[in-house]
Parts: sequence; C-alpha cells; structure tokens
Amino acid sequence: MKKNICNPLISLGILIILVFCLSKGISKVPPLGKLLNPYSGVVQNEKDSKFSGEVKLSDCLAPVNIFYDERNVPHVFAENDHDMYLAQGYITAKDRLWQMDFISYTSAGRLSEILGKDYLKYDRLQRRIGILSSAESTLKLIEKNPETKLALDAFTLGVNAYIAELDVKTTPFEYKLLDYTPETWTNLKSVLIMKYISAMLTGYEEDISMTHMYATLGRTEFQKLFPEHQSLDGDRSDSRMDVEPYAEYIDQGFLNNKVAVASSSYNPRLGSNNWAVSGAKSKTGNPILCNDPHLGLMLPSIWYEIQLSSKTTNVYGVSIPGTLGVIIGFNDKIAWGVTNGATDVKDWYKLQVKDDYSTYKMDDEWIRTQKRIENIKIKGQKTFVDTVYSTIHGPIVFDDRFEQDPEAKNLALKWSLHEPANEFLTFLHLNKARNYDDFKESVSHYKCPVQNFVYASSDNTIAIHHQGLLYEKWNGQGRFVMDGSKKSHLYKKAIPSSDLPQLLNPENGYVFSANNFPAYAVPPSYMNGNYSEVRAYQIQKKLNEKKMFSIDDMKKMQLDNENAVAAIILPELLLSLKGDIYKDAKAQKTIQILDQWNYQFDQNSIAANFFDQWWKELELLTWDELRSRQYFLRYPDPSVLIKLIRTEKASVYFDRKDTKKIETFQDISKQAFSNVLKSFENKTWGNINNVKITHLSQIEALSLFNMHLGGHPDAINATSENWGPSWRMIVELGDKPKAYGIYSGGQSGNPGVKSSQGFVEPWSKGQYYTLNYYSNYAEAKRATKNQLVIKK
Amino acid sequence: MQKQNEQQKINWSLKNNLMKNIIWLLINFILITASQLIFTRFWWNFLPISIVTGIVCGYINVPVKAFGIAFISGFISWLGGTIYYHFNFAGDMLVKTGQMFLMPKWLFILFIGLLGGLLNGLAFYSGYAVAKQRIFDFSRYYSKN
Repeated sequence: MKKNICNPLISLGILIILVFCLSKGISKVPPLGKLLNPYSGVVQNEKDSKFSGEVKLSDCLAPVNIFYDERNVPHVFAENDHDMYLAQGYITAKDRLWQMDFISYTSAGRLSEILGKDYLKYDRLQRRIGILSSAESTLKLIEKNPETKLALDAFTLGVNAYIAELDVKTTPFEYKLLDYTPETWTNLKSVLIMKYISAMLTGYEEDISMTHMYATLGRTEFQKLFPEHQSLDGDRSDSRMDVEPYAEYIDQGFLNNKVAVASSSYNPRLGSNNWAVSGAKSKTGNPILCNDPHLGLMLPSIWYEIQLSSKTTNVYGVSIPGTLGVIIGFNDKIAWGVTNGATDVKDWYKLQVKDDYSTYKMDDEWIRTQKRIENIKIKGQKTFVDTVYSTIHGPIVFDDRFEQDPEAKNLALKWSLHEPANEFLTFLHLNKARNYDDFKESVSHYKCPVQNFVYASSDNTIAIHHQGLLYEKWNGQGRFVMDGSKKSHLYKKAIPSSDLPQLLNPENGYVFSANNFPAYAVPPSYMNGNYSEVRAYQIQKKLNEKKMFSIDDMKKMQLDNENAVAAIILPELLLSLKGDIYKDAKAQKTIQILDQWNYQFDQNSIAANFFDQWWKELELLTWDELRSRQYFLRYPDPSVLIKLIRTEKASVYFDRKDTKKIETFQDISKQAFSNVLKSFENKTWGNINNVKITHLSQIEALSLFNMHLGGHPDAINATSENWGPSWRMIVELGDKPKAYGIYSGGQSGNPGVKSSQGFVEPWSKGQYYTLNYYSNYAEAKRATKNQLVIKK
Repeated sequence: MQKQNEQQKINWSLKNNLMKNIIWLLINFILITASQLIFTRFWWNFLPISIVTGIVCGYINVPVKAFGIAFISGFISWLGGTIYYHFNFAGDMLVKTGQMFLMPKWLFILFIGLLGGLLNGLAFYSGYAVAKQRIFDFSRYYSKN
C-alpha cells in the first residue's frame, strides 16, 4: 500500500503555524493561545488575590501583620520601618503591579520595548525632555539619604518578592495581553513614577504662544487680555507689566512666525481643591481638613488606600502605587492635603546654536554642549540610538533630527523637574509628623511639582504652604520664551522654603487653595503660572457664608456644582436679551428656565446645559481676533471677559471681524443666544457631561464610559469628561481622627475582578466611605476579618 | 440466516468501534487536561501529549475517528475549563476580553472551546496518521526470522 504522508504532514504543518501565530500574535491581535488557554490564560485572572494566610519573605526582619478591611484596604502593622516599607512594596505589587510597572516604562520612554515601533516618537520625546536622565540624577541624591535609602530598598525588596511568586497563571492580565513579563523592580522605577506625576502636573506651559501674543498684541492689549492673574469678578488684577523692565527683548522677530503652535489637550484649569477650617469654624471645635485632587480619571486609579504603622509611624491615606509612604492623608495628630500650585516651572530658552549642535552662544562665548546617548529598545527590531544635546539651561528637545514641534526647534528646556530632589523624604516625614514644625520641616524638602500643602492639626493649627523649587525672577521672566544667549536671562537664586508664600492660623479661621494665585502672602519675587481663580472664588464664598461647619457641610461643599462664572455673569447676559427675542415661545421658556436657575451644574439641569453652550458661543464670537492667529492656544481667562462685559460693553473685542456692523456686547450676547437656541435640544447637563474613566492601556473594554454626571470645570465638583476628583477626603482631628473618603476605582488593579471598579458607583453618586484608622494592632485585629502575615 | 449473522457482526463491529472512540476520547481528554493542570509553563504543552497519544493509538491500529474524537476532547477540555473557572472565580475577565473581540461572553466561551478542539484535533490526527502509515516501522527489528 502506498504510504500517504501528505495528510499528516499537512495537518502537522497547519498545527505548527497555528501554534506559532497563537503564541506571538499577529499585527494588533494579541497571542490568543496564551490568553485563551483556560488553565493559564485570562480566565485565571478572574481569581482575586488572597487577603489572608501567611507569606514567607526572607528579607523580612520581624513578622508583619496586614489586616484587610471590608473594602480590601490593607492596614500594615510592622515592628520597624524596614518591614513596613517591605510590606508596602509587597502588597501594593499584589494589587497594582502592572500599573506601577507600566507607568515606569511610560515615564522612562520605554514603551517601544513592549509595544513596538509605533511608540518610538513618544519615547524619543520622553528621553529628550529629560525624564529618564533627571530620574537617574534624582535617585543618586535620594540614595545618599540613609532614611530614604532604607525605605526605598525595602520597598523594592517587597515588590520583587511578589514578582518572584508569579507564575503563568497569576501573571496580571495586561502582561498576558501585551505579551511581556514583569521585570525586576528597581529604586529607579519608583523615582520614575514620581517624575511621571511631576510631569503630569507641570507639563503644561504656554510660553511660545504667549511670546507670539505679546509680540503681536503689544504690551497694553496683552496686559488687558492675559494679566498674570485676576479675581474672577475682574475687580482685582495683578499684572507686573506696568513695572519696567518687562520682556523688552521680545519683538516680532524674536520667534519664527511661520509655524503654528501645537495644541495641548491638557487644561490647567481642571485642577484640585483643598481647604481647612480651624476649631473656631467647626461645630465640634475640632479642625477639619478637606482635599479633592483632580486628576485624569483612570483605571486602575492613581491612588491606593493604605494604613502604615510601625514604631515611628501610624498614618492612613492614599499612596501612589510604586512609591513610598502615604501622599495625602492623616495620622492621629495632623492631616494634610495637596493641590497643584500651578506656578510656572517650565521654561524655554531660544538658543544660538551651531548647525552640528556642538556649541551654543552665551553672551560673547561659545560654550560646548553636553551629549547624552539614548538607546531606545524596540520590540522585535534593532535598538534606536538618539543623541540629546544639553546646555546650561537644559536639553535641546527639538532639533534637526527630531522636529516634532517645529515652533520649539532649537529651544532649550529648563524644568524644575530636572533638578534632583528628595520628594520621598517629604512624605516619609509628613507621615510621622506630630505638629506644625514637623510639617514645615517635611515640606521644605519638596521641590517639584509646586504644590499647595494645606495642613491641620489636633492642637487647632491650620496652615497653607505654596511649596516647591522657585527662583527669584525679574518681571515677566519665565512667562515667555527667554533669550538663551544672554546670561542675564538665567535664574540667579532659588527662593528659600521659608520665604515662599505661606499662611498660618489666619483670623478668618480658614485656609484654602484651588490652583489659584497664592494671594494670601506677598510673593517674594515675580511669580507667574497657569492660575485659575474660578473655584477659589467659590470656595471662599462658601467658607464665608457659614460661621460653623460640620463634616456633612464639608461633603456638600466638595460636591457643590455651582458654577461661579454663571452666578456672576448670567444676570448680565439675561439683561442683554431685550427686544424681539422675548416674543419667541422657545426663547421665552428658555429665559424663564435660566432666570429660575440656581447656577448648579446638576445632572438633571437643562439650564446648565444651555448656559454652558451660551457662554462658549459668546467666547467664540468675542475672541475671533485671537482665534484667527496661528499661535492661538486658549481664550483669555473667564475673568477677562467678565470684566469686559461689566465695564466695557462697547469694547472692540465684541465687534465681529466677519461683519460690517460694529457690534457691542448686547449684539454678541443676543447672537450667541440665538445661535444656541436654534439647535438646542432641551437635553440635561448630565446628557452632555459624559464622564469616562479610561483604563491605563486605553482599551475600551477595560474602561468605563457613559457616566452622566453633574459637575463642571468651574464648579468645586470639577467632574468633566475624563477629569475629576480622583480622591475625596475629609478629616476631622480630635481625640481620634474621624475621616471619610472615596476614589474613583477600586483597590485591586486586576480588571478581572469586580472589586477593581467597586468604588466607582458610590463615587459617582457623591457617597463617602468611613476611613478605618486603627490606633494599634489589637484594634485592627478586632475590627477586621482578613489577616495576612508576612514573616521570614 | 447468513444475512442475519452478517448484520449482527456489523452491529457488533459498530458498537465496538464506538466504544473504542469513546475510550480514546476519554484517554486523550484526561491526559491533555492533566498536563495543562500540572504544567502551565507553555500554553501549548498539551499538544505534544496529544500527538504522542495519537501515535500510540495509530500504532496499535485502533480504528478511531482521530480528528473527531480529539476535537471533541479538546473542545470539552477548553470549554469546560473556561466555564468551571469563570463560575468558580466569579470574575469579569471573560466579559471584558470578549468585548475586546467584539463577542458576547457565551460566544466567546464557545470560540475558546472551538479553538481548543481544533488544536487538539490537529495534534492527535497528525500523530495517529503518521503512525498508521508505518513511516517508522520498527516491527522488522522484533519480527521472527
């Protein structure tokens, strides 16, 4: 009989090809074999990690008890600091390993290693803006301090102990999907995560756009439209432009006028709130501190709740996975919270540089640039080698070989993020601080990003510090692109921490911040930034409205949807609508709704939706002159338009460029009203305010969409689109702290378990959890059901 | 009478073949499932086991529908395993992964089963068909002179 080997060979051939394709993945399709095998694939990730039992870690000095409460928040009780941070590393990795690992890759400009060449541009940019190099130099500084070295080393040991336990089944889902494995954790990766946060909060700048605006508009008009900062009602403004000298070096030819400015998706106004009231303004006589940092809403959440206790520390709050300690929280004596300071710490310097980038001019000298070689590994391909040239100001980000942003070509970047600083020490000390002196000492180590630290303690002290690395500046310095060929444009001296704006126990009994200018203190030098006064105005109004506050009052305040811009300007807008429009039935009904409106951007408010569109249309029609310029980046602050409406109704800015008629405010307001009315569909604000919480991988199936919520960027509850109160916390300090909080996510970062999004629904409804702060081991043991013990 | 006897012989033969198919289906199912439970390092580790099982089955000349029985055993192993773990762990991963592939959960689970069946069927059949062809005929080394 003839041997027919074709069939089995064909069958075997097909099998081999299938196994190969299912192991590697093709194009955008992930390795299906690895994913779908039920014994090792994604279905194994539906198992939640264990919260009880025993874990043996050889680096543990003494047994560590970790009690998990009903929300799977770990309460770590250790005998010493080393074991406390070891445990923090271990359990944070247990819940959030992929998140912290991925962020470290993102920060370091290493995404091409895991995602391929599509991310090469992103990685090149990350390397060129100096994140990796600054993380390396920062790590050297951090490791010189014995306290942070011990803590960081212990944390790293803990993370690696968890990684060593992983097998194919228990490897987090995202690794299986993206087809790579977790690498050994290092101290550098923790620093990279801190730099990632710093970059997120200080990455926005508008120097180039503002330079063009200043050159084109001239000083008077620029001062009017873009003052350094101005109160929301326009009554008070501070512009240093009256004071000479002010940016006298800028003229039409200073920058290349032929290129457009790249738009930025980041809106610095979508910021955070914090405030504290002293016992005098509290119904119980105990100070109350509140903080809701607004960040990009993502899964897993940037925050991870934890309690850390050792002989020196007993602190509760939220940590950032991959970094040490508690970042926002409280202990039995003090509480603290942060908002972004919004002060400008990122500057561009225009260089005179040789074509080969070997030297650049500084006054009459030609100085050699420094060179750094960046090796960027690419999955499945040859490593890409990039060369970054640096000057005394900082790296030259865009040059002949990397022209992604042509308007920034041959500009050097000076960024306080580049300066080595030990932010970890700030939080390690804050975690065990007992009083205001300890607090001051802790924040003195803090450099970047500039933050408003608000403070309260059980001895009835409240304070606020605008803290970070700031330099003495001449008027206008740093607001525009500077002349990198002049030594006079270099920053001379850093402002000592003690001279930075701060306020202690004010008479009115409260302190607050909401990314606004720190007007409570005389600034030690010229300060500019991306300040917003809108929410600050609203917070101050609320704190002045009542004599005494309770915790419930504070909850209501954090959830307040009142739009301060609407409250100030709607009466003027309605007044402008006189005449024919009133006869139209739809218009009449709309005006009536607006008239009765309480300025709250609630989910079910139709008036809120209409006002939002009306205001946006008004801005569109008013600022047509600016929008037509190719370096236009953003409208002037709302306070500028409010001031024009109140005091200059015949301003030239209300005159539309595209009509022959000379319009006034009334004309524009009516026109805007009519334009919106034509297409308005009576939808509620919730229908428009469609909030999403996006997974870090950007995969839709792992994200949450279509949450129709109340809130507005100009309200205290600044929930919008993909940004909002990532953490809400209220702490009352007395004999024992009473605390409430919630964040938009879940303790577990595993998308396969339901608890990974367990807090989202109550967060969206404005609910709070009681935060369980246990004074000691015995109390934690009594109150919880799950105990994990880490021992040698 | 002769016809009746022949009919009886055919029926017995069919029943005998059916039993052999079922037995080898079970053998294959137990072996591939056990290997995946014990050895998880490589997701495809059950395939060599299936190839070897097919070789043995073919070598001892058992008349089975090789691809068919291995497809069914692989289908049950992957489908059953997926359903078991999904209900045991009570998680969300299958729903979300199914969404990524634009499939509802149950269709996605079915797809997983079909994939397991296809792979196992190809593996077992390859081994069985090669053995049946006696490409490597060892009998000459131990046949009587």
